[in-house]
Formats: sequence, C-alpha cells, structure tokens
Amino acid sequence: MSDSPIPPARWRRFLDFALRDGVRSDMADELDRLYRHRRASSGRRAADRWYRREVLAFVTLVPLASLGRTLARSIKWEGGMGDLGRDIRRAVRSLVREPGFTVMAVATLTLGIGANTVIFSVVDHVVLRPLPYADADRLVSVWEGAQRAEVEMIREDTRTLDRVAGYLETEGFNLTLTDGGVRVSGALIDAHLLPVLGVETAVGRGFTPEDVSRGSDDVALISHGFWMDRFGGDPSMIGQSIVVDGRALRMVGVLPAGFAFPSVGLDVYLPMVDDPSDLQLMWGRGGYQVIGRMAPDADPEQVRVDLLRTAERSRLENPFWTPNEGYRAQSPVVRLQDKLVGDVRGTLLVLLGAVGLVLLVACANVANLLLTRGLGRGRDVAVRTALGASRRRIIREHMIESMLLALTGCVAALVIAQWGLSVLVRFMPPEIPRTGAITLDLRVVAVGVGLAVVAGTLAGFLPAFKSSRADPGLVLREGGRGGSVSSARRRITSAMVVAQMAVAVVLVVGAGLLVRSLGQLNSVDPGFQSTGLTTARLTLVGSGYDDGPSRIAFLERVIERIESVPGVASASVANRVPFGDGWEAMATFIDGVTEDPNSLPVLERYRVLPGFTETLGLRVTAGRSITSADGPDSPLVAVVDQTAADRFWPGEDPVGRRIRWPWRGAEWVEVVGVVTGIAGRDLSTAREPTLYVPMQQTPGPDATVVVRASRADMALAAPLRATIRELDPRVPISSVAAMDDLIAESLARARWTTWLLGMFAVSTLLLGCIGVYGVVSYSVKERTKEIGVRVALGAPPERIRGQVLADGLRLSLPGAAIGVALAIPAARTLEGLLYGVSATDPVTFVAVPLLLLGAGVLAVFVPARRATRVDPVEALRSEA
Amino acid sequence: MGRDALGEFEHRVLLALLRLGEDAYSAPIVVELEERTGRPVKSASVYIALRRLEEKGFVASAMRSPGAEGGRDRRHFMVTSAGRAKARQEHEMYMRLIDGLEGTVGGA
Repeated sequence: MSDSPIPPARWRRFLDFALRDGVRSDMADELDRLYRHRRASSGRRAADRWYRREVLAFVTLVPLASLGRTLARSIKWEGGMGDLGRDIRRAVRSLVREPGFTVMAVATLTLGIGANTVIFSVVDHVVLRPLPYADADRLVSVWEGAQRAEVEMIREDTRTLDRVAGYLETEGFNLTLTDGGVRVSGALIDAHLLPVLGVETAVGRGFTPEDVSRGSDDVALISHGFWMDRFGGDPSMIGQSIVVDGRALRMVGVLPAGFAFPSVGLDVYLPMVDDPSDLQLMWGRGGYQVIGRMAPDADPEQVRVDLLRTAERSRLENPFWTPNEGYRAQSPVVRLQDKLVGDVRGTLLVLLGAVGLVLLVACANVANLLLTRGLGRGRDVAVRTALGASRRRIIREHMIESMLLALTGCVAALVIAQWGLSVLVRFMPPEIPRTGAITLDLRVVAVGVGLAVVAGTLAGFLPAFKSSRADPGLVLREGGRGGSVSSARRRITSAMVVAQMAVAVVLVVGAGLLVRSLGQLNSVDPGFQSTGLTTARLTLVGSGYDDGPSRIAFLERVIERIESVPGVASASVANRVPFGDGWEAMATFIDGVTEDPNSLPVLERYRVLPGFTETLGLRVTAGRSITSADGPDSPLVAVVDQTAADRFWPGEDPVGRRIRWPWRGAEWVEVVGVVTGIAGRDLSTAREPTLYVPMQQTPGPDATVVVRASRADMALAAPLRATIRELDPRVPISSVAAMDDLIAESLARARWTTWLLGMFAVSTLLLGCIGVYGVVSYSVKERTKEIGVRVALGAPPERIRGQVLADGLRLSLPGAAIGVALAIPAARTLEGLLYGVSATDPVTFVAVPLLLLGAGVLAVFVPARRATRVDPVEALRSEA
Repeated sequence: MGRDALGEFEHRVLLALLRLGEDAYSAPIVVELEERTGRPVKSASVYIALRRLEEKGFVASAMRSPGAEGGRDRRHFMVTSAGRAKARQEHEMYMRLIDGLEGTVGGA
C-alpha cells in the first residue's frame, strides 16, 4: 500500500462509473487531493464520510445543473415561464371539467403510489438503513450462540476483530417494587458491548470488566424509556438500587434514548457474569451471542477462518464433553445487519416487487384512461395543431396533465400511507426486526414524490405522444365525434389491458400459492389436541424458590390447586411447552445405536412433572409415562416419542434401552415408555425426535403450567392466574395464552405476508377488470350505430351479447396466457415462503386463470347488457 | 438572471480564484473558500460554478501537468480580463451600496 491515503475504493469506482469523461478527468484527482487534506485534518472516518457525500453531490448536482440549463433554454424557446403557468391552469381547468375521469385516475395512482410508499418505508427501515451505530458495516455477528467461556476465548484469540462483545437475551427479570412485583424485559451484556457498538450511556457509566466478574456484579443499566417512566428522568436515581430477581442492584447508568439492542424496548441490562471457576456457567449454558468490530481490512470470511483456531481450542478444552471434530467449522460470521434482518429480507423484497407491479398496472390503467379520453379530445387537438401549435407544445400540455394527476395522487397517497403504515406496523408479526422506528419520514416522502413523477411520466408519455401525432386533416375530415380512432390506438389500449391482466395473473398466482401454503400449515397436525389447552409461564427463581426441591413442591401445589378448579380436566408442568418460550435440545448418546461419539443426534427435551404428556393428550404406545414415582433418588428414566422410536429403534421396542448425555461421567438413563410424536419448533419444520424426562431428576429454573379444560370452549386464563396468585402473589406470571393462540402466533408472519400479497393481487385484478371494462364499453359505445343496424335487421340479442363477451375474452385470454407464462418464473421467488405447496402448484395455476377469465367476463357484463338494449331508432338518429 | 450576471456563490469562487492567482485548480479553491468563509463547501458546487464562470467568459481554463507532485494532468483556472472587470464592477457596486452605512453594518 502506498503511504498516501486513498479514498474508499467502492466510492471511487462509483464516481468513475457515474461521471462523464470530461467531468471525471477534471475532478477525480482533485477529490483525492481534498480527501488527503481532510484525512490529515480530521481523521479517516470523517474523511470517508466527507468523500461519500462529495461523490453523491457530484453524481446528482452536476447532471441536475446541466439539465436545469437545458430546461431553462427549452422553456424560453417555448415562450417562457408565463406559458408554463398558463399550461398548468389549462390542465387544471380541463381536469376539473371531467371530475369522473379525474377522480378515477387520481384514485388509481393514489393506490399505486400509496401502497409503494408504505411498503418501501418498511423495507427501508428494516432492511436498507444501516444500523444506528458508528461504522455499522464493520460490525459482525460471530457464530450462532456460544458458551460463556468461548466469548472470552474469541476475544483472546482473534486477529481479525478489533473488539469483541457478548450478550444474552433473556426472558426478562422480576422487578420488586414496594407495591409488588412486575416483569421487565432485559438482556445480559458484557463490558465490551457498548464500546463495540460505539454507544455511550446518556447518564452515568457503562459496565466495566470489574462489573461482570462474580461478586462485584451487583450493578444494572437501565434503558432511557424505563428511566423516564419509572423515575421521571431523575439523574439522582443513578447510584440508587433496584431489586431485580430478588437481588439489590445499583443502577450505574442510563442508556441513550432509542437504544434498541439486541431488540426494541428492553428495560434493564445486567452484567453477563464471567467466573472461570464456575464450569456450569462457563460451559454448560450456551446461547451467548457474540458480536465484534472487524479490523479495517478484514471481511467476515476472514473472521470465520480466523476463529477456526478458537473453535478447535474450545473443542479440546470443553470440560464436559468433546464435541465433534470440525466443531463450528460451519458456524457463520455475518454482518450484524444481515443477522438482525435475517430471513425477513426475502419476505419484504417479495412484497416490494409485488407492490411495484401494482404501480405499473396503475400507470397502465391511467395511461388507458388518458388515451380513451384523448379520443374525445382529438378534435380539439387537431384544431390547435392546424392553427400552428407545435407538437412539442401538445406533448408538454399532456405531460403537465398527467403530472398533475400523479402529484395529486401522491399527496393523497402520502396522507393515506401515514395511516396505512400505522395499521401495517400494528399488525406486523413480532419477528420482523427494527420496527420501532418505522415512520413516514422525509426520505420515504422523497421516494413517494419520485414515484409520482415516474408514474406521471409512464402514464402520460404514450397518450401525449399519440395525440400529438394525430393528423389534423384526417381528424377534422372525419368530423362528428372526433374520430373513430385509428385501429393503431385501439391496439395500444388493448395491449395495455392485456399486460395488466397478465400482471394480475402473476400477483394472484403468488397470492394463491401463499394462501394454499397457509392452508397446508393450518392443517398440519401438531400431534396433540391444542384446543382447550391454556399455558402460563412462571418465574420462580428470585421469587423465593431458588432451589429445585422448593420449586417442585410449589409446582405440585399449583397443579393440585388448579385441578380442583371447576372445568379443569387436568394440569401439569414442564420447563416449556410446544410453541411457547424456551427451547431445549440435547446431543444424546444412544446405547447400541450411535456408534460415532463425533456425530450424536440432537433430541428435543422436555423436563416434566407427572401428567404432562397426558394433559397434552399424547397416547402411550409402549411402556409407561413419567409418574410421581420417578423421584430424585429413583433410577434415571426417560420417555421417548414415536418419532425418536422410529428413528433410533426402527421395528424394535425402545423400552428398556438406554441413553446418556455426552458429558463426562453422565449416567445411563433408561427408556421406560413411548408416546405419540409432536410437532417440532414450528409447524413448517419436520417433527424432531423428542424426550421427556422427570423434572425431579433434572431440575431447572423454568416452569410452564399447562391446563386442559373439560370443555374446549372454556376460558381458563383468568382462573389460572387467580389460582397462582392466591398460592403466592410474589410469583410473576407471564405469557398466559391459549395453545391455539400460540400456534396461530407462530404463523403470524405467513399470515401477514399472505394478506398483503392478497391485497395487492386483488387490487391489480380490480384494475385489470376496470381496464377490460373501459376498453370494451368504449368499443360498444363506438359501435352503437353498427349494433343499432344489426338489431334493426333482426340480430338476436344473444348474438350481440356474445360478440361483446368475445371482445372481452380477446383481452383476458391472452392476458391469462401471458400471465401464466410469467408467473412460473415469478413463483420461484416465493419458494422459500411456501410450505407443502410447490411453486408450480397445478391447482393454483389452473384456478387463477379461470378466476381471471371469470372476472373478465363480469367486467364486460355491463357493456354487454348495454349493447343488447341499444334502441335501433335512437342509435341511428343520434349518429345522423 | 441575465447572461453575464454573477451568482453569489460564483462571485465567491471568482474572488477565491483571484486570490490564488497562478496556483488555482479546484482543490485549493475548495480549501480556500472553506477557510475564508468557515463553512463546508461541496467541490461539486465549485465545479459547477467554475463551469458557469467559464461559459460566461469570466474564467478560462487549461489542462496542465502537475509537475513534481505527480498524478494526472489537472485543470487550472485563471480569471480573464472580463472576469477582473466584473469583479471590480461588483465590488464598486457594493461600495456604493454600503456607502454611509459603515456605522450600521460594522464598517467596510
């Protein structure tokens, strides 16, 4: 590398690419010099930022300046600004004179621009905007969950990361107040997290390495919102204590407003304790997230390779077990933004594409409206052309009209988008990240206005061009209604309607596939009777039940008391429930089955009290289920599910077989029974082999109560809450929910996407039908005389109706055919969102074109009826 | 705006150019303007202003080799006699406008 600093290469290339030769040769080197000057005076970061802005200024300002000059010249040439004002006034007058047309056109554009603005602002905030941290593109997320000890190892070993930090999202904490307890959200973070993100506390200080070591970890950070809500933003609260999970902690700092890491709206941050002497903490927990700030010349792939050394070290140093060779070889290192946005990107980009198509169809529709209207005004234009108006002039007038329509549509769209966005955000599925900040800001408004200009141009250009080409002599000679216009113009109109129908098919096919997929998901059998189940999560640690036996004693009392509530058929407890919070999966050694200790199968695990599988409604197919006899001192037992039985002991009886966790010194566990299988993590994934073990033998902090009602329609949430409160008001109860709601929630995103795409599809279909209606009814009107003659000559009404219907089909049939051809590749983009339906699902691909043809027939129903009612006498007279 | 009118920013660029004399190409002009006015200046704006000034005949430019410093040829600008006259004319106009106002606007 040379010793004189050079600007960011990507932007330098962009400049080269975007500027014309003359400007480039003048400026590129000059900018380099100025860059060096900046860099010497204010450092690299500021210089880079400055350079990016300069490049953007160049590629926008320079062409704009020359465009401005050209425009100024052409307006002068056409008679100056006064003329422009006159043209605008003329356009306004003519639009006001035809309110039906104007409202229709504006409404169509409003729909197109509004939908685009709303979706764009979501995509922009969620996917496009950089994270609100300094040099956010250098932040990476390392691996997918690490052991506590590994966080420190990564920090010691790395050569590609400047800084490394860890955090752990929690299910929240219990905050004890003078008037009882509340549940607050929060996360554990280490001393490096804020510096890695480049964030400073608003008040007080962040965590120090001292704060995260055991014994001196009685400190907490609070969020700005929490500080304002609870303490009225009083700075003297810093240094005071709060009681979190039963421990008094000193608040040492307040995070800045808007801080939303790792997710929006967390209240309390506690130190992520580091204690090398506590092997369980350091190696037995996992799930810690690691982020790092890359060194200036590193990329994520280099970081991944760099960390392979750490992975190998961790593999060998793990005190509990030795993981497989190649441990973490596949663990990803991705940019933090990509990790936070995750697979939502695909969903949102599909929606953005769909909404873009809606706008295209809207433009085509308005273009058609303008064309059809132009027919009526052909005479007017012809007269003016004959009197010497230039063709440029006519085009300009038409363009002004369509721009006015588009900009009016844009204003309406922005108003509606404001409202639509708030509705959309409210119904947005929870797993879409970064939704807190979504608003209709200046950048989105600018995009909306830009879209309006594009739409105005798209919709206006063809009609303007066409009507300026009309031969005045011809039009004036034809007289009367200003021209039964050229078949060329009718062909254009028809072609555009066909295109609209084709796009409608694409979107309706997309929506149809999603609907089918949602239907499939809804009909997936979770493996248990979900209706009638209610669940509630309890937090026992920090509520006076810190050791296993006291927790189990309390939970047994809870079960006993709830089962005595009228309407309760049975109740039990497990560390977690399907579709609920919490997740546990164990690499498991299966005696006589798993040969290679390096590739152990992973089994989902539930720690249960007696009656859990029965309350879910699982059947015992062999042996027995967990009973109260399976206590802490009796032999270790487990129940496996059918999925596990089929996978590991096909055709054999698992009862009496043994399994073992891979820790050093772990004892054998005997399989005592088999129950029917249940769904995996969500409905769209395959069933996983599952284990049930007695909670008494493997105690843990988590507890979820599950209650079955004796009648499916009974609401048990309130009695459940009341019963637990009665037993011990200190125990916080969170996420009380019906199992059916938990399942529905797991499908929230699929439903949301389906709804939106469905709405867009219906809109385009509607626009397409309006297009068909417009063209056919215009042609009926145009042929009133012809139809009148035929009626007079005795043509039966069916014949005439049939002919109009055929006119309509001539538009929708090719539309449907082209649409199907386009939909096949388009549907591929949906593949990742589909479950149980192929992207070329024959049902959808047959049903949608039929639906579209049906809609096309409906659209010509009115004009067809009108055609059969033509009164020959009237028709012939009016044309005289 | 007439063909030979001077925009405010163009006026500043012209003055900077006069001050820099022989050494004037766009990087030093940007630095000069920023130092004198204490405000950030976009080099794109300077570029556009120089082009306008050249179109109006107040400035002439030529490509010149950068000499010992190295790098590609760069475009040097110089003020034409029409440009000097214009600058003087503008200055005189300001002086006439400000005449007698020294006490109010803080002295010339």
